[in-house]
Amino acid sequence: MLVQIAPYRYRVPKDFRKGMKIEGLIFASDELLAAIERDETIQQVANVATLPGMLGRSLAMPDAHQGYGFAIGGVAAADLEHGVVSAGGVGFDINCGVRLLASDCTLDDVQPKLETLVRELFRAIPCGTGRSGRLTIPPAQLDDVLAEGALWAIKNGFGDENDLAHIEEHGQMKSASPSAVSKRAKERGLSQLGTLGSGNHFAEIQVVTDVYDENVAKIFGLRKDQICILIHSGSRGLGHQVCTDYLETMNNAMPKYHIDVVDRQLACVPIQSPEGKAYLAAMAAAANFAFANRQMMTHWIREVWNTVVGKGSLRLVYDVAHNIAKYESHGIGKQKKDVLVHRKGATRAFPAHTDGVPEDYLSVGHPVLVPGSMGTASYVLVGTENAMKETFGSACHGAGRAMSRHAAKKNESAEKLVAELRAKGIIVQGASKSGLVEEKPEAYKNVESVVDVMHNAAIATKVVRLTPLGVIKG
Amino acid sequence: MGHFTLLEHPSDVGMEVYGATREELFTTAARGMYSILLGDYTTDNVVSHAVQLEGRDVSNLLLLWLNELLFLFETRRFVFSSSQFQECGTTSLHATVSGEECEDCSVNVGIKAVTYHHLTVEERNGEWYARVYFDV
Repeated sequence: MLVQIAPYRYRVPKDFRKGMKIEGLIFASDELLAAIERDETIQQVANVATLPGMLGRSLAMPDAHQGYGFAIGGVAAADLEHGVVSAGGVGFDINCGVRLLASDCTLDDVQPKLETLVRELFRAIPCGTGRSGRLTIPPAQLDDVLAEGALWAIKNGFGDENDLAHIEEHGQMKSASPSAVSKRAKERGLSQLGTLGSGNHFAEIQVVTDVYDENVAKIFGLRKDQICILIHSGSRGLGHQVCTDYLETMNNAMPKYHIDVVDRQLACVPIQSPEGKAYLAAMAAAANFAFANRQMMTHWIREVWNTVVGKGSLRLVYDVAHNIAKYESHGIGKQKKDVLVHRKGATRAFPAHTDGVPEDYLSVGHPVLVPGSMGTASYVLVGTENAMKETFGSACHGAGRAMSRHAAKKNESAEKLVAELRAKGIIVQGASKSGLVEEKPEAYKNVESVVDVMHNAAIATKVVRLTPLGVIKG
Repeated sequence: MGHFTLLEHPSDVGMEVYGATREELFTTAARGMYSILLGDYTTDNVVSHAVQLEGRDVSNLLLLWLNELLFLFETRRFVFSSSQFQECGTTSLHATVSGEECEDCSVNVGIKAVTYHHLTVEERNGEWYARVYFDV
């Protein structure tokens, strides 16, 4: 049984299941908790608490739903010396993340050109469900992408160096090792470089409709009525294969370390083991692939913007991952400890004066980007000291699914959905009719409810709200 | 003849598969996965690939089999039609898979990976049964 210990905080006690070494903690409202209780999320939070060397609490954010091993929306930190790393704690889509670009334009500037902008963006951004993207590179160059991430993209003409400061890890996880990535992961990735992906990945033209914190919004360069573009995309087949490969490696290695897990998707190895180090090096390489992807798509978006809108530029506000494992320093009890934080469907939310926050955002913390589902609002939040104390500096990542893909397709057609969204002023262009319907707004939890929990629990507070005008989907 | 049915899942897709033999189970599971990828599809036996796998157990073997076919789809655009098994044991498999390479096939639902989530392969009442979920 869950115990409410404070507003929006529900404890999963250590006797919830056998073998839990730490408690769990779920951030939710009553309404969101009811949804969380309907699937295996709480069991998964408890399962994560059975892994060796986990510290503090096993967490779930308010958008949590059942995942593979870890819940989506799950956060857990492991002791560096005695703890484990789990590929399932990052997920198949390594560095699935979000990037926000801000323009100098208002709705009046862009509205007359919106139809053209959506059409041209759809043409310019490869979705990648076909054999290849827009760019073909020799296989030998892929290792440079994996080592350098966004820096590789910039060196090859996609964007400029000023972008790097506003990307988590400056767009390059230096712990990456391309040699830890399998040949088959590289083969999957080579044809998908610079592609958006399908499912819940998208690029969206948005307008800032509400400003909740004028001071922070000003520092982020955001203001009411401003047009922005949000990209949600990850590491594509390369990242998926890295996770698949290392799930096998970890499952095969666990007996050697006398580790038994209740769910093979939780397969894990000691962080300090050869397998653990190899996974983290490969994960970082896959993360760099995703950073490079988002940088390339940013360049193509800027090209379209210049041609269609021809006014001002698109500045990178921030780019942040929501499927990743990071070496960080956090308070555990009264001590500060170096830990490995797994964030699976959870976003880093570092407050003011924290290492890792860009210099020009240091006085407030970095943007926390929370995309809504297709046709609903997105939010920019900012982290707080409470996040550092309670969630290893983490917050939610989106709205979380509320409905199965099969249920979403019942009594729905892509044509009807597109027409309904158009009636609300949202133009949608997607590569797959089935994909569009499965991603309809009603298939997701209410993002406002999710964000309100984070705000009211003082974990990450609202800065601005953005609503969609145009959506491009793979 | 083996058959499969798709399963509901909060965010992804799963299937239950039945076959009279392990070979039929594995072949039908392949067709099930491709039906998720492409919707209803037909294809001919134009190209072939050899598949040789070793697993920890029969569930792991099925996962490796489907992940292998997913890899062939993503990198060669290989669409599965049929398989001929030289061996289909509980921990090892050797087969020739045939199908077509389809450059302009439009993907219905992209599959990231085959998962261990509730993965089951077992003999039940004289036939083989599998349940498998895909991250999409």
